[in-house]
Amino acid sequence: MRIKSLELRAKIVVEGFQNGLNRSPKHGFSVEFTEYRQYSPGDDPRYLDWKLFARSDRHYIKLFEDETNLRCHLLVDLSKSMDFGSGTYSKADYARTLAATLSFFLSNQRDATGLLTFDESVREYIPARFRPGHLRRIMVALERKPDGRSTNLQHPLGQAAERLNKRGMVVLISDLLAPLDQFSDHLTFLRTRGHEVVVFQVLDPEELDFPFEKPALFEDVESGQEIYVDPESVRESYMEKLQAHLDQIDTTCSRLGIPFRRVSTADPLEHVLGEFLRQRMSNKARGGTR
Amino acid sequence: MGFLSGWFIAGIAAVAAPILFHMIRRTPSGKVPFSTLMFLQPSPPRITKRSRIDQWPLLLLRALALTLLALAFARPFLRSVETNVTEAAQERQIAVLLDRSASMQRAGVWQDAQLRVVDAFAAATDADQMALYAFDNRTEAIMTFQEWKELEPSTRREILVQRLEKITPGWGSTDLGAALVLAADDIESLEMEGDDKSETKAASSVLLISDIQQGSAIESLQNYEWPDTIELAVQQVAAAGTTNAGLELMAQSDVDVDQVRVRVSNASDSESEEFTIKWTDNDGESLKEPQPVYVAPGRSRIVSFEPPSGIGSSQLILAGDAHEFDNKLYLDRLDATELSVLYLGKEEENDPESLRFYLTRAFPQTPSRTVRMIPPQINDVDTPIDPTISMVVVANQVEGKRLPELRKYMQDGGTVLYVAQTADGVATVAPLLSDNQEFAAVEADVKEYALVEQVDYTHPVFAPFADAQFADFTRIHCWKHRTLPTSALGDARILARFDDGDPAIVEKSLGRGRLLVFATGWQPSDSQLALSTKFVPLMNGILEQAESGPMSLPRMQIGDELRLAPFRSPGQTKRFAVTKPDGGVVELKDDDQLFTETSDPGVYELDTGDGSARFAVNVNPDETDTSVMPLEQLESLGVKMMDINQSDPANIAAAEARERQLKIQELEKQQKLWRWLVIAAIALLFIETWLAGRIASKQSTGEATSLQGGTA
Repeated sequence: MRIKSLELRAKIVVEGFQNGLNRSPKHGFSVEFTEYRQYSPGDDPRYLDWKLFARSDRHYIKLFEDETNLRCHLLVDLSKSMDFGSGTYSKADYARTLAATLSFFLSNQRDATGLLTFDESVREYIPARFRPGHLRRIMVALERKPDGRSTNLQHPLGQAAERLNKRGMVVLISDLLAPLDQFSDHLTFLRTRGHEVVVFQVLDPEELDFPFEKPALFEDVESGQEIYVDPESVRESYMEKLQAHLDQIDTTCSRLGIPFRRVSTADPLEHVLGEFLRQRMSNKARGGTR
Repeated sequence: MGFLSGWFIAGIAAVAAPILFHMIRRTPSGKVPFSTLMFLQPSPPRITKRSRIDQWPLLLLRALALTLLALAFARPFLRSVETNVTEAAQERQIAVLLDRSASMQRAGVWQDAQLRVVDAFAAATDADQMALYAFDNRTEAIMTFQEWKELEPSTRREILVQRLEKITPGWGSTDLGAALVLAADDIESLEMEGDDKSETKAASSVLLISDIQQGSAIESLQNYEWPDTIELAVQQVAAAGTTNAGLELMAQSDVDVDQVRVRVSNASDSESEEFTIKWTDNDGESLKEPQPVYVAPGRSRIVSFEPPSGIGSSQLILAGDAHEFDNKLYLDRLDATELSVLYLGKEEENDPESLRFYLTRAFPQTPSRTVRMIPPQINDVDTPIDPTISMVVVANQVEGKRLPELRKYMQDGGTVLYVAQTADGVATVAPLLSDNQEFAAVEADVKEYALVEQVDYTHPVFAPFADAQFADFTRIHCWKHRTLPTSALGDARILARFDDGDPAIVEKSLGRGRLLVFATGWQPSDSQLALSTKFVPLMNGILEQAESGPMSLPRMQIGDELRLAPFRSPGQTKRFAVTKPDGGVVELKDDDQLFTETSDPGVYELDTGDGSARFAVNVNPDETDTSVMPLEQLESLGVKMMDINQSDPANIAAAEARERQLKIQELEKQQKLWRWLVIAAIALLFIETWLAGRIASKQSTGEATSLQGGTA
């Protein structure tokens, strides 16, 4: 994480894990014409079919079949809670790098990548594309500082479910440290819309182990609320509650058949991604859904 | 080592503060940002056994600094020096005066007083010199300073309590003045002894434990210079009820001679003013209906009673007050005795130049006796002298026929007073006076006047004049007198002489009786005797002696002494005995002049061998006034009073503690040990600051190193 450039960082990571991967057997991208659609203001004029205009004197936009073999949307949680990190980098840094690496990797595979960042609401939405400069947009969007107050999974998931019309892959990267009301419903909705959903839960080692010893005033980085906590006395209950929360996520994901990865920021990113992709490929080989 | 402000040592408890801070330091030293508090719950700060103390040296330094500061505030001093200063001054001489007068018989008072005595002695240190006196009308040493000193300190208290238990309040009056003087004198003499041995002046005080009644006698303090070095502390013991009234027998009035007059006194702090008085016999049987009496508090009233007839001794009993000790008034003989004096002379009764004129008037009628003068004309020469006649007075000469009668009368115990008016007259009684046939008196050659001197005050007749204020006979000028031949008087006793050496009054015993010869007459032509104040007492003295004792015994009170001389005839060696009211008999020796054991109220009976006399002894009426005497009265007589607040043993101790505190303050000021403690505390704090800084810098370096390593 000492590399400042997210793009470079993603590139290094991808190179790292790609070395151990077989190349994807499917290059499958084609530029197939699908239909015409009448031009409406706001459409990119570059897609106007000038030949047809010449023939019919009407403005038609030529719509093409996607060139990519995968349409992937990255849902990245950039709330304040993600800004927490016990080491020199935060969960947000880790999540950004993870998202950037994925998008870089997908771009390399010529897959369309979209990005949706959120905190308590959707902050930024970049539709999935594969075109030059798109990766750059994603990187810029990812590098924006998180400034949201709280994490609200319901609203962004709901919006994503509404916006993502085309089937594809939805990768949710969040710490999921928020109430899980309707979390299951939204995931179910995404699944029923034909999306393949992957969940990365990014957690700090301190969140997982709660290694604090000295009593201290704990400040919620999102709300600013402060409470006095003696770790020795609350560790047990913390671990119990955390485990219950994680179990609930596990259960939900397992029930919906959603691949779920819990990642500690201490885990090397390339290993995480490498393992994820290997697992995914083995799933596909077994005939898993896309 | 001691401390001037010891309570500051409690400040050492502040040592707990660094320890607490040390542990509480483990609580919020700063904020810890955390991603979410959803799994956390607030927990109160707590110090558990697992709370370890990390920085022992720092903690010890802080605790030590605080301890030193606390000790500095407590202002320490070195006791070794102080002990020498204070302990020497601590030796005290305390004389405890315990009132045991009749008023102390009131309910609860005596027990309270005893407890206070025990407390006072319990408060004494081994170095103190203590003495205990019990006093009423006389003062008795229960434990002297010397005894206290000689007793083992461990046994003193026990012995004192034993002796204290033996004392009970008596019936005596309260002679507070005499007791104070005695106690002060004893302390002074002790101080004088002590002055030779030690240089330090001991604190001396008299502790008076009494009801301090108004009736206490303090007159003896008037002639006493109270020592400056002795202070009087007073502890008053109070009775439950204040209402008290008492009775006192008064002299009978000239008007109603048959009435018994009694003064009923009510104490000024009494709450009641209605009393009843009933007359009972010695067995307590009521003789008359109780008579109500109203006496306002602080007042007295004289009430007359008609005595029941035909009784000997009896009692008047007062009821209606809270305290009984002074409610009984014992009365002895109430019926008057009739005495008769036979006068052998020829003077007219109303001739102011005659002996008879004055003699008749020398025996006034009193309630207890009437004297009947048997006139000369009745005394027929042929009539024998009645042996019941108390006394025969012979003026100038005796007829020859009378001599054998007179001799017989005297030998049977009668008294004959012969007054020589002429030398020839003396010759007529010469056979009675002397066996010497040549006994002859002559008219003395008096230049201007002769004086009576060399009076034998040991004789019962002159004993009443023994006191210096009555002993002056030089005012009586005798113009003429007869000279009796001293050599011929034989065993006759010369009771008084003239200034020229001639006998003036001679007593000659004859058988059981006696003959008194006056060498001069008392009528104005002979001398001024009849006109002097000596005449009536002298004549009555002779008459009383003739009656084998006083016809009216003095009104006796507890502690009064009964003079036995009036009951004794010269040369008699009869044993006397007194039966006390409780039945006890006191045998009196031949040489006893006084009967002193009038310790209980009641009727006493004196057995003189020839007869008996009864006398009543009552409680001193002063004891009735049980209201509290203002202590200013003692102060006005020069008694140096201890601060009233210090009279209590606790307050005495407090005063001593104050004095000791002052000395300690002085000592502490000289030593100023607190300065060194403060300096040491500051030095420790410097070391602590330096050490803390060093530890902090070490820690920050260590943390930085570990953080860097962790990130890499």
